[in-house]
Amino acid sequence: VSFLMTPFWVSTTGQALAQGDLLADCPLPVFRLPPQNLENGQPQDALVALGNLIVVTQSCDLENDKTDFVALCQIHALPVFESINPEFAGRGKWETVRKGRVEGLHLLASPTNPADNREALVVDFGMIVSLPTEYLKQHAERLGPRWRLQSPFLEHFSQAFARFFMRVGLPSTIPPFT
Amino acid sequence: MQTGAREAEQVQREWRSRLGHEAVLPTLEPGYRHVPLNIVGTIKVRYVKTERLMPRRIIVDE
Repeated sequence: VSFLMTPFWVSTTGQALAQGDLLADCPLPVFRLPPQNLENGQPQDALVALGNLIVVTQSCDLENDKTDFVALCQIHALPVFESINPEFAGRGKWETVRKGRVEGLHLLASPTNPADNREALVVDFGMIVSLPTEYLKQHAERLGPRWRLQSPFLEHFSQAFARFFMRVGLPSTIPPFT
Repeated sequence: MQTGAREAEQVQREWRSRLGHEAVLPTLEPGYRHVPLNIVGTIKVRYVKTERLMPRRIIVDE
């Protein structure tokens, strides 16, 4: 079955950053442990990871240079996510994510083949990184053509992130209607 | 058991002792594991003292 879909993504280039920008292969420092012997001034090793990241900071803050740091989440191809979470390869798991019932995850259609749900991408809101704006601008420019999520898929994504972040736990609730 | 599940159980135990019944919690057990960061190497960092409120800043050598 094939059907026409409105594209989720638009191609862009350059340094300008916006919410929903996909920044592939972005190097980020990882500090697993506090540094040792701070006083001696000797260089120490810090880990570097390459992340496929999507910007979650609001576009208006980025446009007006209101932020020195940009918040991003990891975005994965489904097979990569399934390699860590094999149960997601089973029937029905991705459908619950697609319906927005897993707060920490959000599905976005493939930039190149949106009608194939197996080529969709999944954003993990539970793992947020923050990197300097200037650093990301230069990385974005170096990528050349890259993908930017467009409206209304951008607002849908942004709302899902907000919903994940604003969860509230209650000490008690009304008993369920059975 | 995943860390999230352990935390959820601990919080439930605390609430149960205070309230006498189960609490309704946001999703502490996310139902999935994060894909680990793809570590590709190391950089050298040097820590130096600063005069600012935060006691130290980090210089990335390369």
